[in-house]
Amino acid sequence: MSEFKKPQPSPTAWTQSFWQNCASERLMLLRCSTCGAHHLPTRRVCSCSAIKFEAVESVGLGEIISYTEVHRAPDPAFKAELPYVIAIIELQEGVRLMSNIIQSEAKDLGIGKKVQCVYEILDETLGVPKFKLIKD
Amino acid sequence: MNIYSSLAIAGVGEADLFVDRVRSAKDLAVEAALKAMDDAGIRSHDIDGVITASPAADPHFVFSSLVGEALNINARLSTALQNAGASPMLGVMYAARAIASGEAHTVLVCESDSRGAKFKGDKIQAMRAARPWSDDFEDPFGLTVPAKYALLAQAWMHRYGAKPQDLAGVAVAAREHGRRQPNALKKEPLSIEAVLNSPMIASPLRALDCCPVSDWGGALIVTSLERARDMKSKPVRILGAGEGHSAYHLHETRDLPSLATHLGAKRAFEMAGLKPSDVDVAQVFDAFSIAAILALEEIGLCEKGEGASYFSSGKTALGGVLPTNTTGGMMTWGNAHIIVLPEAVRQARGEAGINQVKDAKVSLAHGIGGPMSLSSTLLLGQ
Repeated sequence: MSEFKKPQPSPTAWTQSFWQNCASERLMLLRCSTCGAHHLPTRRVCSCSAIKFEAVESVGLGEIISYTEVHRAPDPAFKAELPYVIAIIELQEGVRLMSNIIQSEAKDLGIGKKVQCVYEILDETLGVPKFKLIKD
Repeated sequence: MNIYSSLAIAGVGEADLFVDRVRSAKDLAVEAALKAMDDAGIRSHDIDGVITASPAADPHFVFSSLVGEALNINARLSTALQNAGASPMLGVMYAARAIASGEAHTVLVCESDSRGAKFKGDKIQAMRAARPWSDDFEDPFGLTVPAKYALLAQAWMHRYGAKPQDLAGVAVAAREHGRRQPNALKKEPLSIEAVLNSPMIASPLRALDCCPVSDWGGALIVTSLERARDMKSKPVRILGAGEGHSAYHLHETRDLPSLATHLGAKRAFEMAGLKPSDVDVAQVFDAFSIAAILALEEIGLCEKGEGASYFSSGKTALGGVLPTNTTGGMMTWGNAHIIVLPEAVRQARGEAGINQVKDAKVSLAHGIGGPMSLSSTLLLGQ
C-alpha cells in the first residue's frame, strides 16, 4: 500500500450528483434548457447566457483532441502509475473534459482516435470518468 | 491618442538571478524595486502606488502591503494581481489607467517569487503542492504544469505535421542568446540532439523544452510622461497595450491550441495604430518551447505553423528579421515572468548593450498565465 493518496474529487452541492452518477457508471451532463448546448458542471451559465439546465446522460463516446504521456508526476501518489496518459476528450454531445486514457496501448494513441468512457469507482458516492480507446 | 499616450515607464530594475543566498519573495521585490527607483532617480516618497503579483512559493494574503511597508511607500493604491505570467504587463496597464484617471501619480509595479529557494527537491511536485488539491476536473488525473503545455504542443504538432525536433529549436535559440550574457551560467551552445536526449517530462516536452526553476524579482516605475521627463532615465512610452482572456481550463477552450494572446495583442496593435510587422524586437513568454512558438503565431509575428521555424532558422536571433527574447528569456533565466519587461524597456531606450537591436522603435513585451487563459501584450517605444 502506498502511503500517498491520490486526490479525489471533493463534491459540492452543485457537483455531487455528477460524481455520484459516475459511481453508477453514468456520465451526466448539463443541457441548456434554452439552446440545448451541453456542459460540465464547471459552467453555471450557458454561452447563450441562460442559467437553466437539465441533467442528461451522455452516451459516453468521444474522440481525443490532444494527449500527453506524463513521465514526471505532480505528487508521489501518482508515481506508481508512471508513465500515464492525460487527454482532452470531446464527447459526442460536444462537451470537452480532461481525463486519463487507461486500458489502452500507448502506441495506438492519436489525436482523433475514438474513446469510450469507463469508470473508476471509489465508493458508492464517488466515481471518476476515465476513457479507453475503442478498437477499430 | 489613447489613455496611455501621456504615460511612461521611467525606471526598471531586476534582482540578481541565480545567486546562492536565500531571499523571500518580498526580499526579491524590494531588491528589484530599489534598483528601479535608482534607475528613475526617485525615492519611496515619490511613489504613491504599489502593484505586485502573488508569489506561489511564498504566498501571502496581502503581498502588496508587505512590499509597500518594506519600502516605506505611502500608497494611495495597493494591490496584488493574480494573473501568473501576465501579471507584470497587466500591472503596468492597471498602473497606467490609475495614473491617467488621477488616482495616483507614480506607481511601482513589481513581480517576484522565491521558487528557487523555497521549492525543494522535485520542482514539479513543489509547484503542485503550492496550492491544495482543489480542481476536481484536473487534479484526479495527475495533471502537471508541463503536461498542460504538452497538450498544447501535441495539438500544435498534429495540426502542422511538426516533430519534436521542431520544438527543440526554441531551446537552442534561447541558449545562443543566453550564453552571450556577461553573467551566463552556461557558455556552451546547445544542440537539437541534447534537447531530444534530455529526460521526457510530458510527451512531447523534454526537460530542455522547459525553463529552469528560479528565484526572481523585477520592478518598474510607471508615471506620467511629464514627470518621467524630469527623472534620471530616458522615458519609454506605452504605444499600445491589450489584455486577452479565455476559459481557464484547457478542455473548455474550443480552439486548442489558440491563446488569449491573440485577443490581447490585437487590442495592443489597434491602440498603437501598428501592425505586427512593425515590431523591431520581441520579448515573449517562453517557460516552455511550445509557449514561445504559440506566442509568435498568436501575436501575428509569423504565420500559423511557422513559429518553430522562426527559432530554428535564425529569424529570432540578433540580426534576424525578428530578434526575440534577446537575453535568452525564461528558457535561460528561469520562470521569471517579468524578465520580458526590463529588457523590452532597455531595447526601447537603446540601452540594451550587447543585446541591442539597431533602431528598435517598437519593442514588444508579452506574458501569459493560467496557463492559457489570460494574456497581456505591451508595445513600447520612445
